[in-house]
Amino acid sequence: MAITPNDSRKPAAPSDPAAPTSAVVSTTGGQGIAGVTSVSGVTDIANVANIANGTSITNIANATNATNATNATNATNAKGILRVLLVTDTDKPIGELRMALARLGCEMLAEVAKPQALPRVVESERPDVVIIDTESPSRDTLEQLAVMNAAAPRPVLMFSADGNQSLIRAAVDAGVTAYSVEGLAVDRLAPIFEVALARFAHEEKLRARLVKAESELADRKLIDRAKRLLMDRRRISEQEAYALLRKRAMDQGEKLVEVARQLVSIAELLG
Amino acid sequence: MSTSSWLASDAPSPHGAPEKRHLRVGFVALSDAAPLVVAKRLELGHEHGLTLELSRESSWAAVRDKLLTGELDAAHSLYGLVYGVQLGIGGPREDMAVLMVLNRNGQAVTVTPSLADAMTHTGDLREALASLGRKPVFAQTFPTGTHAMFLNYWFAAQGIDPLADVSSIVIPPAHMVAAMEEGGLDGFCCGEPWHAVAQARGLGRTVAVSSDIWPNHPEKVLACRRDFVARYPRTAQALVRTLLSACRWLDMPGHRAEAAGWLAEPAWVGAPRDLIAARLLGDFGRLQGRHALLAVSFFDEGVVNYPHPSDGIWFIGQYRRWGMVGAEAVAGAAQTAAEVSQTALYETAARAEGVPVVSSPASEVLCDGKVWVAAEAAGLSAVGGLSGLSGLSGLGAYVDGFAIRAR
Repeated sequence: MAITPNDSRKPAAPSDPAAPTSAVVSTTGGQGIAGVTSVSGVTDIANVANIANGTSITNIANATNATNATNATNATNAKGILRVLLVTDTDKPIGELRMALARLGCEMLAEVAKPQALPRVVESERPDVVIIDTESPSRDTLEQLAVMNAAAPRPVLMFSADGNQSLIRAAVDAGVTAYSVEGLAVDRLAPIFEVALARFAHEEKLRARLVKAESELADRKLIDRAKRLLMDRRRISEQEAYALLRKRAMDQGEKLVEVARQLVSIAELLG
Repeated sequence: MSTSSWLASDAPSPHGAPEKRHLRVGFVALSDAAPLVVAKRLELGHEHGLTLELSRESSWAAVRDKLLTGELDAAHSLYGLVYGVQLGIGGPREDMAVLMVLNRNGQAVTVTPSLADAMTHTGDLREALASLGRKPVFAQTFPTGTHAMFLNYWFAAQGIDPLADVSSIVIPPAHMVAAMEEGGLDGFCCGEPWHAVAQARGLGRTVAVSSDIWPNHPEKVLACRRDFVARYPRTAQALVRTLLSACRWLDMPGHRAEAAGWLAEPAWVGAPRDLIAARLLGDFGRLQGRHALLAVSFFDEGVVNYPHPSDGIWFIGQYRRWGMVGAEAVAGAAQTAAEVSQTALYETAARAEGVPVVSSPASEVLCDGKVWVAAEAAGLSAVGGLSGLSGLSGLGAYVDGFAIRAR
């Protein structure tokens, strides 16, 4: 799966994570990108996130409970406790939300790790909310249930004018999305999304930074190749070669790396 | 310009240049994503002022959400998914656009070897299913999608009520093979190469191809939000031209075999090259079909790609048949389909690309013997149509004419 950094949307403002989360990012610091790129694979990013979050989930959950306890508890008690199903069919540790959501007062159902099991579990356990990795292939299984059964959880709408939209979008950016039963007020989901965001938001930031760093490295290599081609063929200096590329980019309204890519591609054809 | 001798063909004039040059286009890992893969590998967009960035998505729900948020500009999409969103069936509602059809045919139904044997011995699907001694379980890809509708149609054509007599589940295509291996799944309908993979591993046998259900049915389309077309019309045109040239490339000799090699790579589909190639080239082994078994078609001199509103009307009719939409969707079907299908934009792009414009859809006999007279579809369902009463319009009567449908 291509993980592509998203530049075109305005980033939604995530809820403010506890201090330990920020500390993870700052300790990697100025050498941070190099530190991150030396980490091999997504698992290590998750571990880095875990080291911070081992304590921060507790902090956030406690903070939520401490400050919002009255409101949250009253809300859930007034309308019943939310039954939450976690779908754990991808590498993303969605199951780690269990404790924090339980602390919020959710009733946590047994997790489902395979799409085939979802129809039976949704039918018999009647979850109010299903939490799933945004990249999970099993989302389509949930879509089927939503269409065929009016009582089944349906996709949480991210596109309404609802005030919680930015929170939901932030959670989706962090890789977590939800399906909820019709009639469930979105603000009852807000604490759940806050928990998911706290757990996964900085992991998503780290991942995005890693992707960006790798992409910048690849771009730089391409530009170097283009410069060398021009220097060799036209017997000019590096600065002159760079200036030619930049002028072409500006004249064409294109990114410099795109011009470099075209030049390298044509040169390969010309031999 | 001193560097002009070095670089790619000159950029299009400012008057014709696309408004947006860098496009993010989503796809799902299936063989019929080939036009997008070809367009990217050959950078066919550059000639039209576009740089494509392809994004592999793990689910159709993700494709839908990312189209709606704008994270994707356009996507390889199940035909039906577009109308599911347009009508807000079980999910978000938004004005959508079909820019062009990317392929017709190329899908299939595969069942367990024992069920395939029972079908051969009894010669009757209903009897074969009854021999299971329990409710059969069949998987497809998305509730409003092509595979769900074709599977339902295929069952009903053989006297089986897909709502009452079959357990229908959505399983991601890449997982369908594993599900057959674990047991608990009797058959599935989805795109290739998963049928070829199941068969090669002895976990299933392909018993029907989609061209047998509805010859030359629309399958995947190039979809986007309608406001993308409104805001970036030149970009949309450039994108259609790019994909048209990719589709045309795929029809040339030797090219599908080459594309199979690319599709086999993990970044695209990640399945054995030979299995992808066989089905792309129309090799179905010993399978017999009612009609000539039609391979997936991407271009066919432009016959494939025209976004006929009648295709959309067919889907709306089937949604009504299975109780997924109300009578008002039927009454408005022609108008909905006309608004979704970007025929004017497509015709302009096709002409610019030298692709014949084939605007009359063909009538076809479907597997239940009913004729879909596509050219008359728009007339079936005009508001104030044949009888002037919603629910009794021509499309409504067409739907009511099915013996097996939701009650």
